[in-house]
Amino acid sequence: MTAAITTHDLTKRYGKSRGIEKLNLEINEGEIFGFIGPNGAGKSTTIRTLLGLIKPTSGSASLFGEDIATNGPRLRQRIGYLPSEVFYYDNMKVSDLLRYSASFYDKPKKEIENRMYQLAKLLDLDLNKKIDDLSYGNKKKVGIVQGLQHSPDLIILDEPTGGLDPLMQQTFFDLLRSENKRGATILFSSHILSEVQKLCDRVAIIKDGKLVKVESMKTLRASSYAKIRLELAAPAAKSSFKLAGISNMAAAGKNVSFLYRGDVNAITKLIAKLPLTNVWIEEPELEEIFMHYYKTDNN
Amino acid sequence: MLGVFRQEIKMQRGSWLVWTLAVLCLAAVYVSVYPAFASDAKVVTETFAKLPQAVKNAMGTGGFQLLNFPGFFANVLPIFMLAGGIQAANLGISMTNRDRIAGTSDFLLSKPLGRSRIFWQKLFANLILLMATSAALIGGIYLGSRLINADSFSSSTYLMVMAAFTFVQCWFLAVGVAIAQIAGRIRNSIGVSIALCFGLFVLAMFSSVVGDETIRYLTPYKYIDLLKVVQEHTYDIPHLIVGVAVIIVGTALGWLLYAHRDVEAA
Repeated sequence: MTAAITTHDLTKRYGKSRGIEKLNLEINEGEIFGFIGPNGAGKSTTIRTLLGLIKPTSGSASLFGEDIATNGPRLRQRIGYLPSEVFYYDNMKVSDLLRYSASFYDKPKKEIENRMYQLAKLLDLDLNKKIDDLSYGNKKKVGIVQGLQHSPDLIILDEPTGGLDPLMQQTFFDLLRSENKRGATILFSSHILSEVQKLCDRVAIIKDGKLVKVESMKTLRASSYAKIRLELAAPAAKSSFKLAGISNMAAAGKNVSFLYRGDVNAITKLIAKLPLTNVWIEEPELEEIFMHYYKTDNN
Repeated sequence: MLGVFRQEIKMQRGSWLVWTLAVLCLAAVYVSVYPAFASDAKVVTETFAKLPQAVKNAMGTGGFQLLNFPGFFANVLPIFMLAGGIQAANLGISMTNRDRIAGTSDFLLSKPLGRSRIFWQKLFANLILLMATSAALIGGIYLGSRLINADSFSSSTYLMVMAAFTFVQCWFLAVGVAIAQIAGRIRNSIGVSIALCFGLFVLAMFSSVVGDETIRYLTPYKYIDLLKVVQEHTYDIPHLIVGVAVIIVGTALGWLLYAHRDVEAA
């Protein structure tokens, strides 16, 4: 399998501040690859370097076997990019902006235009509105259409679901799956683990500019934590929480919180025996996952 | 192929129309008062000759010399050059700065188009707009001269005088392009343009008052001695060379910085 994206010791520094440090990544063609990390980890820096928006301090990157430094414009013919924040020309109509975007690609204009209409219908996007009159979510839809209408071979998404309601997010994920079935490689960057979990085959975890781990989703699912908070009718003894997989427990009177990794049925049975007034089960912060990722559990 | 060029023209045409109409209105005013000046040429010249020397020097003419239609416009052209300079500087600065402020850099620069190509298409579009303003002004004033039946004059002299307007616009376009890359994000491009143009205009007046030839090299408003063009049909070549050099250096600097800078996230 050929690599869609390869980086070799890719580094970007901003003066003395770090961006990314010696990043070595290989993403195969046809993969849906997740890129997760907390805010400021270096996800956007990596993506912007791949797109030629910023120049690396050292190292190299190639797309489909070609160096991005020397073949940038030609490689971008095959890329669709959706940034985390979308800004367009306010005075343009949506359709005019999308046609302007389409004009840069070598593909037949009619083909791109047909795809534009298809995507707009799917995402419920009014093509006749002015950009200035759109809500943030609708501007994001414009971004999705402009990133996908030319049927790119590589789709790069930087925190793409911000501004989309849950139904539209689902539509968007289905769209990405169908693009992937067509043969597109997808690089999906997010700080929301559940999004990456839904979609990706493999995931890279980045923190403080460095690659922590590249893992298959199967392995990541097996090792992910739930953050559980309980409000009890009366304080409970610590012995009530003896179950393998519970860690980081904190109890203050009637309020108890802990992280849990394991069989959800087991923890649900345990909680059900307690005198509860309220329960919260949340996805842990990415920072918490990183802190506990390879530590052994304790009760 | 020329998508960026066409888009730039589309985005600037409203502003271009306003500026062009404004200078044409100003031209119409001066064309309309020319007959009054011409009929009392002797009186006008004597009146202006009585002004304090400092004022005459500040006007840059050493005294208002009517001479003929091109001569009249040689005296008043500095005002047009000020307006034209502001238009050009604003176009030069906003050409690339607009994308940085609006956040549209990501949209444009992530497309399969090299930065050089984007830069030159944008520059070419703005140059075309400025040439259109110049052509409208030169043609408009000439048409006005026919409408008021001004005495016949040498077309080449007229064009040599009016070329100063075009030259100043090219100068400010290039300098504006360089400023946009050096200064970073400029929230108020028109404010910077006005400050730049007025500053150099005042410097030009100062150079006339003190009679310092060195200062003439620092301001584009003094690269061409307009009365010398009318009287001697000639330009000051050393000053022109400096002006052309600034245009080349400003443009090249703007291009190189644009082509290699990191695009900050919006």
